[in-house]
Amino acid sequence: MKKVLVTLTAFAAIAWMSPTAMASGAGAGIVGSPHDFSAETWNSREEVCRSCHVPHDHQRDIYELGLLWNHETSSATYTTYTHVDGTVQGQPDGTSKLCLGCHDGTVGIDEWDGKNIGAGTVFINDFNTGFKVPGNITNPNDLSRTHPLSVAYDYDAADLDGLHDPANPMGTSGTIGDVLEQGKVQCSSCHDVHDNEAAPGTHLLRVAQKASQGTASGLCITCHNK
Amino acid sequence: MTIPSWVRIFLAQVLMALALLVGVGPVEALAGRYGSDKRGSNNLGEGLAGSAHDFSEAEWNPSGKMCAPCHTSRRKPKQDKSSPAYWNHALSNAVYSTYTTVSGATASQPTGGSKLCLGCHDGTVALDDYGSGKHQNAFIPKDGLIGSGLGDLMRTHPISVAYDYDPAHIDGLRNPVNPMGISGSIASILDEGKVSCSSCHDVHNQVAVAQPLLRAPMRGSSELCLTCHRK
Repeated sequence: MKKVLVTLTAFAAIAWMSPTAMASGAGAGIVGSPHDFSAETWNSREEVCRSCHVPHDHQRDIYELGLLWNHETSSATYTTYTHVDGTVQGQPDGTSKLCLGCHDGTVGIDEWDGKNIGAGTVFINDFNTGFKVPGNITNPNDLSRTHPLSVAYDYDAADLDGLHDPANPMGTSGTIGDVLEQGKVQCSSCHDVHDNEAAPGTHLLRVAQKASQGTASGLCITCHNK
Repeated sequence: MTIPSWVRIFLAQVLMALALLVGVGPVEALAGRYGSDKRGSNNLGEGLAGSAHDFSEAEWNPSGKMCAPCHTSRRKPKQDKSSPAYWNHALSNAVYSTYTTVSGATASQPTGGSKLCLGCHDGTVALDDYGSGKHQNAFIPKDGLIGSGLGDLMRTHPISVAYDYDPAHIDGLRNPVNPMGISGSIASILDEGKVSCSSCHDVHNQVAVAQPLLRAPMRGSSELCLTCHRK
């Protein structure tokens, strides 16, 4: 009987521990980060993850790119970055399309979970105009003045002025190769969208840019061999 | 000889239920966190009876037996002889389109315990297709259907996928020794190390969060997601 009680107490002790309690402090992740919308008035379910992801689609038509996407995406066609050699970057693809579903400012943040589709009321500018990625006012779909998205990470060991070896570390996110998406630079290559952990007080950057937080322009020179 | 995961899960659940019954665990505190839901009558430790999987009063189950739609103590035609769960319900023959990751990796067909769930929840097999009868009358209501259409599991959380814990991956999964609600550890709710339907859904119990039988709450916190996902 004593052994049984000990076992039961052990199970009870396991049950007592809270996973959310363990996630507090340094490395708190998404909870409390700028991407935690659980307290927004439009989020009646008060969930953290559901603004973007849903475990089952419940027969809704949802963007098919894995990640169980649960937010409306943008249908904008963008003016894209032009490289110095004149090549024009293609339209964004992959997960950057998901980010632009809020950050290009054409889709309501509250167009999610099958609700308010095409009838959003809260837009990125309502949060902070600085969070809108095509920042150009006269051409709202202008991505030509932002770092190219969905661009191949074109490492050439012979190019001393080019990019660093993708095997190099990327802050605390593993290697540069780890933050590429099928070899391409996407929004999430620089921004750790789920976390506050990498460089606190930044726009969710994987490496801080301030010298006081590490190295001046640390994020840029992680990839760029300058 | 290794003990099958379903036996371990079953024993863990029995021990948990006993612990709660004899008052060894912090029942009151847990009731505060997980508590009864909007159904009102579902409190800690009430188990299967009265839950969404209690079909004892269903029209299509004239026997009135609670466990019989899924399990039998005897070998009967509907039983999957490869299943250790004394399965008594017809299984689905569907071949599913499965979850595909951003990098293009496609999940394999569901296996193990998840196949048993899909025997009702994919909508191709009748709820009353169990035991020795040949009933084909009642099908799962739309809100219990998994997938965008029959056979489509592309837009649902991957199932029968390995729980790929890597402590070096700070954006990955949490240590499987961490607790999963009041169901023991994450490891204890994996099916041979894989995430299955029952990893999130406590199919026999409304102990944690009654609807839809979740092991930890989602509303108000996304606690269920963040129990495993290190985000």
